[in-house]
Amino acid sequence: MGPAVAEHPLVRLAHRARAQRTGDLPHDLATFTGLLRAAGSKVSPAATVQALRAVSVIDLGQPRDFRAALECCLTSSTKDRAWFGTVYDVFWTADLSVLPAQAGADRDSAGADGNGDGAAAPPAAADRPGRDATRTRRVAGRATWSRHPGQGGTVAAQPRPEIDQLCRRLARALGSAPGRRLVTGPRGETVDVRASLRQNLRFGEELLLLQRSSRRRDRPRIGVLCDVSSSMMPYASLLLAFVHALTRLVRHTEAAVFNVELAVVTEVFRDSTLPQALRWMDRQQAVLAGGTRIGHCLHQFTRHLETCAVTGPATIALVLSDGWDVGDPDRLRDGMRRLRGQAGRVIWCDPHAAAAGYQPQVQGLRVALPYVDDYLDFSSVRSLSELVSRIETGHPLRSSA
Amino acid sequence: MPEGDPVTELSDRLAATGYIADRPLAMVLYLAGQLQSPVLLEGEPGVGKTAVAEALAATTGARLVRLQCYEGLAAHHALYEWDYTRQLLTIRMSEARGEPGAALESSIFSEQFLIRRPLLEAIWPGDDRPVVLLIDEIDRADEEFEALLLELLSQFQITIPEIGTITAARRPAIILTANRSRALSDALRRRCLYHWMPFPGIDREIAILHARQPGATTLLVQQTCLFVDRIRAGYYRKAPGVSETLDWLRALTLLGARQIEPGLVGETIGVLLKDSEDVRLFTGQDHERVYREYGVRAAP
Repeated sequence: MGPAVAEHPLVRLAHRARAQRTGDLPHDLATFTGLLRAAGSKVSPAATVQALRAVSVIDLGQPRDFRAALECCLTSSTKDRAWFGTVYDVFWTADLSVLPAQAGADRDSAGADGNGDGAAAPPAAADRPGRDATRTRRVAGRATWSRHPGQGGTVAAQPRPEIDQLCRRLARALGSAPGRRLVTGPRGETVDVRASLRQNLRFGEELLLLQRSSRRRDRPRIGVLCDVSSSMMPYASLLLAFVHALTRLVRHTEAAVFNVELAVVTEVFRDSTLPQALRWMDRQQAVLAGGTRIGHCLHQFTRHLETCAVTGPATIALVLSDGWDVGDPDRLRDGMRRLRGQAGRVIWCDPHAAAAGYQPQVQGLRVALPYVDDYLDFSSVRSLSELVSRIETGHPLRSSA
Repeated sequence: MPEGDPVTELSDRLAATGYIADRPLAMVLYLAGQLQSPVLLEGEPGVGKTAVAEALAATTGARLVRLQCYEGLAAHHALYEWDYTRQLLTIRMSEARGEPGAALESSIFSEQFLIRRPLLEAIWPGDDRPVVLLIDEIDRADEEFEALLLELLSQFQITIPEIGTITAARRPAIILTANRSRALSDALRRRCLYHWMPFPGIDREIAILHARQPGATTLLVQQTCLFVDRIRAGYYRKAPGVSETLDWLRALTLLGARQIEPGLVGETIGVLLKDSEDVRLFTGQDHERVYREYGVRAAP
């Protein structure tokens, strides 16, 4: 872990909370849960009580047991575990000299953290030998999303209500075909015999009221992959505001950001305000890293979409990237082929696409475009508005394939 | 804290059934027993989440009641259902006998016309054995279904409007598993102890394979685990879980293998990789690299 994590606001917060420790376990535990709440975790009073009960039945002389007990009571998702991992060692560890080596103990949003041995777990970067560990150290001191405004203005400067409205319109335009599921009600194509029998039981065995079933309409499913590498920095605040709004407003949306590694942000974006979510990204080392490995990240993203069942003809895949890629082109081709097979429509939004006479020359785009249905500009709120209008009217989008 | 280490004891008891749990998992299961709380296990497919419930039932001599969740799962599949056919027959027979309606109504909505589905069976079992309730892949069920579970998870009771509230005389151990195919509600998460199960490290996976397949040679077990670890690090669509590793080891053992050989790998790779694209990737370009790393020559 480099200075970026040591200087992280959460770590500073944890140090301040640590100073309030009295040695009285209930008091310290209450302080710790307050710290978790301040970090962004939703810890209920009932969870605090349960944690107190848990530590009363374990051997307090075993630090890893103590950590495991608190972790299972005070966390309820991988996102919570990330907060927990950040502040736990600062708050509870007696020897502060170990902090820089442990404060980054949790890995990515997928939560795969090796052996899960709590305090004994090595830091994320050290889990993977060689290149990845070097990369993490190299980028640790760079600017972070929550602090870097980008040329397009800060996140706060974005017209959020307008973006929200456009996301709602986009979701309506992309939905909704009849699904496989049946819903019971007074109207429908077929008679639901079971529901009819149950409802008419009160009339003896006379079928006086018929219940019917009809196909429930599928909600739109969207997978959105946002490039947050250095070359996309001028558009970062707009794109992240859009992804955040889409994730919160459209129920079946899966979102991820990437540069050289992928971070799935669905849960975090859905449950947090945008500034909170950006702070979480800082914590996950999703910083302005040099280079972009689209193929590598696309592979992880398509696997995630399969896990979440965000696949099928009704699925829309949105890739927000300029296509600059330093990774393996074959990997990118494989990833795009797989994404094309998973989604009914692949839309690639490039901030440079609107430039007069622009022809995609970067290798990543040239490899990806054959698998893309629509190649569109997304460099401003106005371009987003045009994109939504075209989808709403069913106007054929500019095809690049 | 009682004398001895109850967490280690639980871990040993699980190991005796063939389930090798790491310390944090054993701690969560121990706490779940002590605090009488449900446990929510999340993790990659095939890391042994379901097997936890099976092993726990085996260690305690409990009956395992399993509810497999799926899209469209409804209350009458999970909680209880009235036996409509029998109720209608009873109504007809009563009418034929000229019995009064009030007595009939109380009789047709009694226990004998109730079909117990897994959740009701867990808190109102037909015998005295303890119960381990496994609610498997809860994230496959609809979000509305989660609301049905809340009363059970917090109060260990189920309310049947026609009968009343049924509370568990002996609280079952409840294990919920999820693969993170969708976000679970905060209300459900709040009622459970949470534990994330990652892929096991090499050492633990070797211990798991030894426990589950004692007939396999040490060399074969070690090579199998290293090979699978290499596959997991690759660009495959579905990373093999522990269950696939175990199946593959069984297949190799069945074929008389004492160590990994390219020919055998090629013939049995379908046990490990369950996607045609992944098999194509392995046989097309990846296998030579993997064999090279292990110092074996690829089959001609």
